[in-house]
Amino acid sequence: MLTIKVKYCGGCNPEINRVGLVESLKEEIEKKGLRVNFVGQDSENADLLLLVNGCRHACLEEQYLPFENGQSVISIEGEALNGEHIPQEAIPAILAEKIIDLAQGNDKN
Amino acid sequence: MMMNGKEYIESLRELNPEVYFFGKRIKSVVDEPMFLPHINTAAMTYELAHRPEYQEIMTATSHLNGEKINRFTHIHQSIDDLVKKVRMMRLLGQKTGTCFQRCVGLDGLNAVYVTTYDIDQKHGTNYHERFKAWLKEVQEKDLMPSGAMTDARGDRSLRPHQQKNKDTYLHIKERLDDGIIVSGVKAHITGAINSHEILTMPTRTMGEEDKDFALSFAIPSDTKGVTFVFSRQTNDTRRLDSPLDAGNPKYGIVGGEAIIIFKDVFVPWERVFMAGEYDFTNELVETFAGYHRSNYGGCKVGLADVVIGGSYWIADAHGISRASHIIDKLTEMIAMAETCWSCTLACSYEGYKTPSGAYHINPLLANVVKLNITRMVYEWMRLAQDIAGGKIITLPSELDLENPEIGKIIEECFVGKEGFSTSDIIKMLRLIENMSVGAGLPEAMHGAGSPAAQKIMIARRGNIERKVELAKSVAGIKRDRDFEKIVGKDEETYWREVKERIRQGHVAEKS
Repeated sequence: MLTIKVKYCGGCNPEINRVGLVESLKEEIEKKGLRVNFVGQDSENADLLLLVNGCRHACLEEQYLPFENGQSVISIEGEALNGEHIPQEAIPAILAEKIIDLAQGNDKN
Repeated sequence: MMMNGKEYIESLRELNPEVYFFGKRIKSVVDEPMFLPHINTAAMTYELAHRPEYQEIMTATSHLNGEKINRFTHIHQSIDDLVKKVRMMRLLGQKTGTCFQRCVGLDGLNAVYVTTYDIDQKHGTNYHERFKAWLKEVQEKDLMPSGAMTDARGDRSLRPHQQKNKDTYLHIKERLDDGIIVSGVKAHITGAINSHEILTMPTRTMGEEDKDFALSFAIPSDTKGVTFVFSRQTNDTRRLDSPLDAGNPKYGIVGGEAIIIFKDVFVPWERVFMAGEYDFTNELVETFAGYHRSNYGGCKVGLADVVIGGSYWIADAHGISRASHIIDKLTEMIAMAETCWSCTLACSYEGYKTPSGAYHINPLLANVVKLNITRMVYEWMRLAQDIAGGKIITLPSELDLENPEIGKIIEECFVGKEGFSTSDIIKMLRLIENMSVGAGLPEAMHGAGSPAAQKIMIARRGNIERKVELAKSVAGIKRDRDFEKIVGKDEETYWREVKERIRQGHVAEKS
């Protein structure tokens, strides 16, 4: 089972619903039949660190990119992934695909 | 190699652009008295890069070759670069009291860098590598490109391809094996006549039918077929009358704008950075506008520093610097200027990395910066006029001051507090007149786009939907989970119990 540690930015003025987006991501992953354990930011071990930034400034990236202790990191930057604008409602499906690729060891990044 | 101020001016002699002013062809830009103040101001952007006390702001390290370069040719590689960019703007505004022109090219360099990368990712073109090759030359030779975005535009209710006269927008007339032929007119281009190169960008979002107008390229300013017509400004010919009358004789007023006419100009492919990719015109325009609008909270605040200092000095010379209404006005001016400065710093600190690797400012805050500038510059200049008094519009000329018959009498009229010479008082009044009465005000209004353009961007990026959700949560229309955690029960139960307690309390009181 894949363990994903979720780290939220401080949420000063987010352009997305950060918690809602993670909930939608969980549903997407579940629909695709992958078993994932989402853990909080204080957990020690995880296969993947998910940074949930509320806007393009992406405060968390300054602290955590590119890797935290060799962990893979995915960063949501408001309505963007890897600098590309993506509407909030499309992000969970795209992320779920990416996470499945990671779990299967064929991530292109 | 970074040029200093003198070397920049001399470098312009190597160009032979076709420039017109007052209906005449100007043979030498560098020797034309009408142009000199603008050239001196641009030269300041070169000169300060050589001064140890300004180098931390004025220079950067090229990400292309690791060399030290003038920051005006740099692609922002970090948040720190974005912050230093606006610090540089304030510094130069303070040093010149006017527009130093070179930021337009800087913003064009960064916007085209960001956009060409994205075009190539989608269309498989090689614009970005072409652009980087030209950028390397700009950095190594320390060139000043003008940023030529705004087209003449003709009937603005029509799209570019619908215009009766196609030349109202710069466009591709012909595609050749080795390049393109372009024609059209760009309007009010800052620093155009004293720039080494012209970097063109589309002026608006284009549709498929406008693809010949979706165009970006760079050419030397003296390319065959390019003609400049230098624009008039308020009180511009005063600099031909006498230095004192001009107000800011060293550095002039606003940026020295010009119309650029392109008539069947050949542009080789290696200098073409967009040729028909209409789907990226919006990105290029918005990226450029974002960078450029953020600058105004730097440069105009630098100008405010000068005019605030000048206003206090005049009040002191008139013996009223301790009057409460003067202190109040100066305080208002400082507060407005620092508000704009705060906004532009925030806009830089809230920037982000683009896929190209270059950093971009926060677009919402950049538009707020510029919208504030369209209002607050007028307000702090109004207060400067208020403090300076009516003399700023009634002063006699320098020639009258020098006249043996009347000069002495005039001088006595304008004497101030002991320790302030009449000549200095007049100099300062002329400076305030230059800065607060002339073309600088509409420049603050329309430069980098008019207020309506900023409001469109602010409305688009303001995220009203989220604000509605916040209001609904606080009002109790939408479930507030944080509140429920605090009170330890769901809201419905909580309010039922509260109402019950109120009702019981009232009943107890009455009984």
